[in-house]
Amino acid sequence: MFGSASLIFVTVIYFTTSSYLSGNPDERMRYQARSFDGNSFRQIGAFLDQHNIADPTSRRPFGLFTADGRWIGGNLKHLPTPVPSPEAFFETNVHNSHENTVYRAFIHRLPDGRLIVVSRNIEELQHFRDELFEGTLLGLVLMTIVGVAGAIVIGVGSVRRFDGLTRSIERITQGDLSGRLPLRGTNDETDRLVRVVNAMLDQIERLMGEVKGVCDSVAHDLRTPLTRLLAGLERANRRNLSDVERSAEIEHAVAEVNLMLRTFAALLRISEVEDGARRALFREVDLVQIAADAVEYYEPAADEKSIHLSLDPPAIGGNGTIISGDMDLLFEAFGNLIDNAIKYTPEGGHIRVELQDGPVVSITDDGCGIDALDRDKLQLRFERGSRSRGLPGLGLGLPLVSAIARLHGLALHFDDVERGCRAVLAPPALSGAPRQKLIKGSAAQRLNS
Amino acid sequence: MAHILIVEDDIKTAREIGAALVDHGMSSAHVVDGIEAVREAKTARYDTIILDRMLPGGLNGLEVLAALRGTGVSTPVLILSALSAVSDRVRGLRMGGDDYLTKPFDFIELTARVDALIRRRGSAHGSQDMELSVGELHLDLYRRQASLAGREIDLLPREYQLLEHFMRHPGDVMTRAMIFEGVWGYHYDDRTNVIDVHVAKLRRKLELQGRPSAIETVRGSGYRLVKA
Repeated sequence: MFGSASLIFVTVIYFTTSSYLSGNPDERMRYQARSFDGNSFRQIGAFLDQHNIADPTSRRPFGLFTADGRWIGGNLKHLPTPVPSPEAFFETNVHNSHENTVYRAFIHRLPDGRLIVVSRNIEELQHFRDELFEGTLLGLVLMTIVGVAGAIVIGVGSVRRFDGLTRSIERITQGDLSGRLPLRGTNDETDRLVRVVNAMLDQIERLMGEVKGVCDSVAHDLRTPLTRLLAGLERANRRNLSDVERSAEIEHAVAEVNLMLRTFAALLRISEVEDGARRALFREVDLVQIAADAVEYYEPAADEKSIHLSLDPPAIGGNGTIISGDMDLLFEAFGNLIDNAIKYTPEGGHIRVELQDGPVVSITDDGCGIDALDRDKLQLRFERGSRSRGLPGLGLGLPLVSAIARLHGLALHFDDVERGCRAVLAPPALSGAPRQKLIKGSAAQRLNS
Repeated sequence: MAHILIVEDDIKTAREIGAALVDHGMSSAHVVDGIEAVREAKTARYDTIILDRMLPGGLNGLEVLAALRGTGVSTPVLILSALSAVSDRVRGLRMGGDDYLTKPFDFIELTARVDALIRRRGSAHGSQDMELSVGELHLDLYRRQASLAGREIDLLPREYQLLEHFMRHPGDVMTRAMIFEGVWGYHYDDRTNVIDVHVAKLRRKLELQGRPSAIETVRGSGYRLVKA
């Protein structure tokens, strides 16, 4: 491509230049030759004699010949053989004792049949033309060499680069999800693309890890109650049970199955919420109202543990707590957090639900708190904090809260407090320190079965 | 005897629903697809239709509902769905469904809701009344004041609403979910026992001289206000 372009370029330059150099004088020679048409033989002879004197170095030799090419007069004495056809240009070399020159000549037949030849010395032109030809040829060759070499270097480089990328991608598709595409450190377009792809791979790895964790947990969480269920049913079948004992066994089995169904229902709910389709039904809701309802709903449950549950709405007049959202889901999220707080706060404790413009909803208790190491993990399905050992729970509550928060453009995080725990729902920008540390799928372990 | 149409493509589920209805003292018929459902609902007299949201073939549950309502069939419809998405529930209710239940469900939840639908239809009830009375319980709806055997009882606003809800449906089984939806006005499957705590508090206030309150627990998952 590059080669053909330069070839065309050079050819055009060569022909334009050389035709410019020879074009104009050619016209003059033709005119001069034809101007002899009206002159008598004597006049021509006189002109040639004068010209002989005026052009001693034969820069522009003239010659007069008979129709068959014999010399009659003028300082051009020889015609090349065979005699060139008249009314045409020809180039001829003259070799003799004192010159060895190239002439360009025009031959014209006069009305009486004799031939007049007008010529000029084009040795310099020929030189120039040769030089130009050589120069352009050399340029062309150099250009081609440099171009081809450059193309090879660039081509080989990018082929190597893409081979490297291809190998990396192949390794990743073969299952090594921790692999990333190599960066070259220049900020070229390939590097930029690689960076985007790497970010995508991070996301995929995180999701895959989560999916794997969830699958493992689902299998584990179902196998345990199924095993218990099976054992109970087999035992009931083996023994001769009274009606009362039998119905107790059946009730026990029903409870086990219900627990499993709850697990599934909770998982399905989370993925439904994550789907985002619910946004279509968002309306303006006041978080203060929903939080008040949730507090009111859970108050008796807190009372039973002598826990003091209180609500701190923001100063009157603001409407920073009015958002576009889904009342039922928000109630569920608040309810979940309050329920958690009640669960992990000892008798006589305090739980405070605070609302600020932003909106920021925080639920602070003075219970056992959450281990700093567990905080991020708790938003993953089936993860439970190390301090929740022995308490019933599926490990699906906070992931649901987290999903509901995301649906509303909020994020769930846990603040450091002296005692207990503070769960905060706030826009991601207000969520304090960057939390979203990635948890490698393989590293995500169950904390509690 | 109440006659229920079950529209459900899964034969086993339909059989279980039918059995639960029979145990509850109702009779039922079963169809498996939407076109049949529309034809059947238009020709025979049913007290309630239990309609699965997902149906094979030409019409899905919501389309069946639209076809029924469009042709003037006003039989109460309870939609069953494997989707608990609020959007789905709202869509179902908007298209003329009367109640919505997410699979899997307890059968007591189903029968209690079917009962409620049939009753709601039977009594286009005069909620304009200024007072309600059930047994010794009396509610002055204007003053929002409850009294038991002539003695006024102090109730928190929510306790009052809870009692009113029971007294509007005397003798009916109310599941926790139905109470939550009816009194608190939110929809979600609350698995905590908070409703029980609320009911227990109300019950304590309704106890009279050692006699238990008129709200009794229905084994399984509900409560009922004893009529007399």
